[in-house]
Formats: sequence, C-alpha cells, structure tokens
Amino acid sequence: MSPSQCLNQWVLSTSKPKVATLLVYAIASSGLAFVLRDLMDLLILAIPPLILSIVLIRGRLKWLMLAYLIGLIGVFVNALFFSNTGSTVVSIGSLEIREKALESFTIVSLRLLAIAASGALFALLYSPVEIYRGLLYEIGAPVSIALPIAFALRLMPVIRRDFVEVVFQRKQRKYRTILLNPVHFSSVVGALFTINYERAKWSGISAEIRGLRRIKPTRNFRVGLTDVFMLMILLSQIVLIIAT
Amino acid sequence: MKLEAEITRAGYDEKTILLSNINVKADEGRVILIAGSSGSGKTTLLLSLTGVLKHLLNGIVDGSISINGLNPLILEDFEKLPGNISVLMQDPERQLIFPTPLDELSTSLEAIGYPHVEALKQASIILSEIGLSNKVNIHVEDLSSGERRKLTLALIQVGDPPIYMLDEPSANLDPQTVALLRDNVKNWKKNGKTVLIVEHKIHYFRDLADEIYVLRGGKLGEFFVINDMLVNLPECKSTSSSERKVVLEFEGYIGYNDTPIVRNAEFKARRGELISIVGPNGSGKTTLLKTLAGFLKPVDGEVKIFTKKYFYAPQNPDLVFVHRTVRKELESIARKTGRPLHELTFMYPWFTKMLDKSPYQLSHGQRRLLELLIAFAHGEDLILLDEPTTGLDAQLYEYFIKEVRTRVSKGSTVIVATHDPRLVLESSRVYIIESGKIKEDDKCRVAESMFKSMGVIYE
Repeated sequence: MSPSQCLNQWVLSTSKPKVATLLVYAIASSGLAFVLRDLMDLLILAIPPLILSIVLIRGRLKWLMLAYLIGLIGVFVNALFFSNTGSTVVSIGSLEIREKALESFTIVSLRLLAIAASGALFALLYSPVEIYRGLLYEIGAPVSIALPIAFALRLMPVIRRDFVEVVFQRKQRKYRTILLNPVHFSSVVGALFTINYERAKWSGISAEIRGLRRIKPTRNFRVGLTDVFMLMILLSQIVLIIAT
Repeated sequence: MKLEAEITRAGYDEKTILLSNINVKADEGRVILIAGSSGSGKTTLLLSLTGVLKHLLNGIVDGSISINGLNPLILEDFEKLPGNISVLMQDPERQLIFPTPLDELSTSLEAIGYPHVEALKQASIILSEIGLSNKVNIHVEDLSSGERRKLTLALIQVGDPPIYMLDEPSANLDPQTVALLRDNVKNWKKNGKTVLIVEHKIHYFRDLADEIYVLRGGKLGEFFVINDMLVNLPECKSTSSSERKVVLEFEGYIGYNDTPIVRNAEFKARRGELISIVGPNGSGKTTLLKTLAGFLKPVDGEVKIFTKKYFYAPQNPDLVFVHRTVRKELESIARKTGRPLHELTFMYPWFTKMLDKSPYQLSHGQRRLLELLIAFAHGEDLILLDEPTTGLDAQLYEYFIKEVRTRVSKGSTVIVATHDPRLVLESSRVYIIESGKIKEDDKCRVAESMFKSMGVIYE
C-alpha cells in the first residue's frame, strides 16, 4: 500500500471532518478566490485543498479534473479575446499571445482550481445522504435547502450513467457519438437536461407527499480533531496570504 | 367518508383541461379501481386528488375534495396530508430520492419521528422482509425496476396511513411480486384502509375492487367491466423454428464490472422468432439483453450477431429520443431508415394529435409506443426490447403485438425481457433466468405458472 493510500485509509477510518466544517472551508476558499488577484495568494489558496482532494478522493476526482481541463480551453480563449495586451510572449503564425493574456489565464485558472478543489472536498468526500444529514442536523438548515443540495449531488453519477445510455442510443439511431458541434452537443445535453429535470421534479413531489418537509432540523455540532485540522489549514492559508 | 371528491374541472393549464365532472367517493375498507387508456388522465386524476396538481405543478383543480377530513386544495391542509395518505407513483425511479434503499427508508422513518439509529435498524428489518437484505447499500439505479417497485411499496407503508393511492402499481412486476402487491391490497382492505388504484391491467385487481370506474374523455364512467381488457387463460400452442438461420448466439458469463450474474449462459435466436426472457425481479434479464445488444461486455464469452440491422430499446423510453418534438422524431426515423413518413405517422393514429409535443410530455404508454416505433423502424432484422409492454393499455398493446406478429412473420427476430405472460404465450421460445442460471423452458408451462403465481382469478 502506498503512503498516500495509507494516509487515505487512516483519515477515512479515524473520522471525516464534519459536513459543516468543509462547507465553511469551501465557502471561505471560494469567496477568497473571487477576491484575490495575486498569483502567490491564489497558489496558497489552491494547493492545500488540491493535495487533500488528491489524497482523499483521488478515484472520484478524475471527472472533475477532466471538466476543469476542458474549462481551461474556454478560459484561455477568453483571455485571448479580452486581455491580449502587453508585450508578445509567444507567436504562433498570425496569433500573438501577449503577457496580459497569459497572466489573466493563470489567475482565472488558479481561481477555478481553488474553487474546484475545495468544492470537490465538500461534495465528493461525503455521500449525498451524509451531506443531507450534516446540513440538517449540524448546521440546522431546513429540509428545503438540505434536500435539494443532496439531491443535486446524487444526480451527478446518475447523469453520467444516462449520458452513456444516451450516447449508445444515438449510435443505434445513426447519429454522431462524438459531439463535434453545438447542435450535437445541445441534442445530448438537452436530452440529459429534460430527463433529469423530470427526475428532479417528480422526486421533489415525492418528498412533499412523503412529508419530508416535516423533519425538524437541529444544531448539534461537536468539534472533532479533523475539524480543528481543517480550520487550522484555513487559518494558516489566511495568515500566509496576509503575510505575503 | 374517507375520500370524497367532486372535481368540476382539472388540467395543467386553461388550454389543457383533462378532467371534468369527476365524482369519487370511498369509505373505510373500500378498494376503488380506475381504469382508462394511456393518456386518458388517470395520473392527472391522482395528482388532482392529492393537491399536487394545484400546489406543486401550478395546474387547475376546481371543485371540492376531502381526504380524511382535509381539503388538499387548501395549502394549509395540503401540507398536513403526509401521514393521512400515501401515494405510489407510476415510475418508481422518480419516487426515490436518496442513493440507497437503506437511506430511502430510514429518512422516511425519521420523517415520522424515529430517532436516526432506530430508523436505520427498522429500515434494515423492512428491507429484509421485502427480500432486499442483500441490496441495502446498493445504489437504487443498480436495482431492477421491479426491485425499485418493491422498495416504493415498502416506502408508502411507512407511517401506516388510512388512505393509499396507487398509480399503475403492477408495472414491471414479476408474477410473485404482483401476488405480493395483491396481498398488500387485501391486507389494507381488511384493516379498513381506503385504496384507490389507477391501473389499466384491471384483471390484476378486479376481484379485490369494490367499485370499478373507467376514465374516458376526461369523465369518470360508472362501474362496468370492459370485456376486451379481461384476460382469459388462453390456449397455448407450441411452435418450432429449429431449422431457421441463427441471427444471434452467445455462450459465456454475463454481469457488471467483471462480477458474473448469470453463469454458463447459452442463448441462440433464429430468424422469425419471438423469444421471451423471463425471471424474477433482479435476476439479470436486463443485463442479458444489454449484453446481447452490445451495451455491456460479457464477463466471459462472445456475443455473435449475424446482422447489422438490429436495435435495443431500453426500459426507460426517454433515453431513446433525440429530438424535441414527435414530428422531428418521426422525420428523423424516416430519413435514417428510408421508411416513408406517412407510414410512420399513420402507424399509430393518435400521433397526428401529438406531432408538435415534446416526446417527454407524452404519457408513459405513449412514450413507450414511440420508443417501440423507433426500435421497429431501425431494427429490421433483430429487435431487443426490455419490458416493452409496461405502460401499454389494451389498445396500445394490440398495436404493439400486431406489429410484432407482422415483423416475426416477415422473418425478423424479436427478443423481449418481460414479466407479461401474454407475451410469453405469443413467443416461439422462452428462456428463464433464475438463481444465476439461464435455461430454455416450455412456453406453455411458463405462461401458466406466471398466470397462476399472480393469484389473479381469470375467467
């Protein structure tokens, strides 16, 4: 067993931080990511949750990382269109990539990385039910908030399965399975959206009929060792950002 | 009176009023059965009676309703309904909210006041009672649709409400689970519960119902029995097709993620055959069909298909649609398969009224038939259908079976995974999957056993 697997096992076997702790961490990290502009500050913000995510939830991180990498293409195009000023750094044919475009690309990429990594820690370390219970019984959030958040997270793997089936059906119906243009893309995304919108709508109706609204939220938050650890990381990041 | 409703009109908006002048009354210990064709408004009636149509779907419901003394058309009373009524929704997948069966049941138990640990304990007991003890922590998407139905049946009994409303409860159920469902209804009736069942297979509940209504043209007709919906135990004739050319062949193991579900499977399909694959809920019928269609890789062995013109239609018809209107779907089928558009539009008469609707807005039975149309158009030589008769009323079933007979007589091969004994009777051959094994069996014996194990009294 590798050291990271050992650490992973140890952390998961001792105790996970409370849902509330990681929610606070994710919100604080995301908030700071929007405010900060300095490269070093953003690195300090992005690296700790990235390392923790890789160590703790590596297997489930690949889809998020793939989405992040695809997103970077958009970030780069955006930087080229709106911030391509300053001295030329690279020339590829008639395309000149200038200093400010690269700077803007790096800043936005790090921002997204900090948000994605801290968000992934919150969303992927727990099952949707753990998040539901955490929000309901640790923070005291009403069912009308806890349930939709948990359900949205539960839908992610379901959408992934639907995607595989939808693509298989497209193949059978002699449509492209590699989505090359916006029309193909919208046809698949539209199908997935409609199927899952219906699923969400009827699950909401099911929750109402079953009376889940009647569950009373409570605030019962006891700070554990891992919660202190996470809050210490957040505090250290803030101190380092201020110091630099 | 436990349930009393006088609905003057109900619909999704002013333009689509589906129900008018509906009167329903039911007292304790009464079972009311409401039949009606696909898209006749049966589900809309349940949504109206529960207040869901008015408060959650922004629809229109005029009139007065009383459920256990509460008027669900008033928001305050609607919020008090849970505990007074339980609703079994048409599609079990849409009724489930949480990832695992244990989560589903325990949260419902917590909603009625069980402490967390006690709820988990009680949920485990219920799951073992309904035969899901080995699937407690499995994702609900990995359960078969029949197992999901069992789970939703258990869910609605949490809290022991005085009124039950069931929307197409027999869909996707194996004969044993139909018998279990009927036992539940019998028990509820004996214990003084009021039960309202919306179902087009009325023969499943005809002997248990105190009153039967038929919803037609938005109005609820008085009690009468529709003769063509009754199933007589039909004569069974054995057929032989052993001389014909093989179109599909498989020998090996099937399963998910290298875990075999069915071992040493041997399956062969010939031209001009209708083959039924039967077996209890969760036995691996869908897995076999998906493997044969190439959606899943066999754990061991190879699927040999000797034609390129084949199509697999999954249980969920929504996954097959590509376009935003029925018209575009039909145009696309015509374009891709070379079949004339008028042949497709006239295949099922009501399509002409639905051409500009989204396929997703059709009723369950209509969506199923559109899916089958797509499958028949694309799969010229071989068609694999997963539970094709779910949601089809008597008329739609007739359209379906007529098309199957035509296809088979022209030499196409149709393979169905089914719980429907009517299809088994129509079949050339039958395979049974049970306890991880697949074997061919006599169709007459299988059909008779399926009819009998449901506990339904036939003419």
